[in-house]
Amino acid sequence: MMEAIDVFFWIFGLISCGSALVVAFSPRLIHSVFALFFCFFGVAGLYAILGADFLAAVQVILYIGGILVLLIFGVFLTNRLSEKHLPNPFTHWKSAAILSVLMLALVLTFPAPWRMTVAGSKSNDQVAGSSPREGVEAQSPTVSGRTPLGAVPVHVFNTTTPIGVHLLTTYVIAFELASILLLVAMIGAASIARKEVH
Amino acid sequence: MPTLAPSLNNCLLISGLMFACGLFCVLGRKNSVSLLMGVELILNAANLNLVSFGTFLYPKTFYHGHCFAIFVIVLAASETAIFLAILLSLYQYQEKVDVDEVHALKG
Repeated sequence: MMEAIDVFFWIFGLISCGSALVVAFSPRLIHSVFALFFCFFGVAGLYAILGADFLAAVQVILYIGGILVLLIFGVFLTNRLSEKHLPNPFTHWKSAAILSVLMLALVLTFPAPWRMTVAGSKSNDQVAGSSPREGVEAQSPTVSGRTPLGAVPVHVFNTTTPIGVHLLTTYVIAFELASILLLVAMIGAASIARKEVH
Repeated sequence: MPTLAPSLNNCLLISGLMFACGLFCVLGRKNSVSLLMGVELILNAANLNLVSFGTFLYPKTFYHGHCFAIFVIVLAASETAIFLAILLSLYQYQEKVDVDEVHALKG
């Protein structure tokens, strides 16, 4: 029995994976860029399903609104547009494909502790409780009738408040370092990309 | 038993596929912009992993995963800006942005 959230989860997952495949294998550069748009959109939908509303908004605003526009800029500024199709050739594609498939197999079969817990819900609080963070309660708020690992925990509150609080208390040093990094990146990008003045 | 519900394993499956596509993009493409797109795919897969681990393994303190994802997004944004600046000056310098053609720094 598929519930509505399962259907949407797989729709967004298929959008993400399918457009990631198009990004990797499309013979034209501009198709790759626009497939990346759908990939980001699908990931934003997955964030929303996983209860990360703030991250979904950030994904749409920053990735689609910022990074993707920069990428399209890059495509249009570094190609001769008189060529009609903007081809996107491969190089070493055999070894790249072999390595990617090997890495995918490794990632999907890695014997990590969280994989063992999926079969039964009993061992869930063992793994979570043995972590240094605060232990997960045995009955976490979940959709009724499912195992805790098999369902999305329902957050009835928004995630913006705890993220904001923790960014400015727990992670305040990393936050300040990230702001310095952004400043340095902005200055560096401007000074690298400007025209040489003789 | 595999389930169709949004579970940790299903999220890891999706992000693993995205990661493999990004890896192929980085390793097997000639154009630098395509390489950057592969890096973005890999970072997105990592972000999805962070969020799903936070959601499924730590339902009480899931927002720590979100905070890490925000830092990854900041890094991705600055990396894209720097990469495009380098790409533009490279294009002014030698009219090509294919990774095979950039060997001026080779020893």
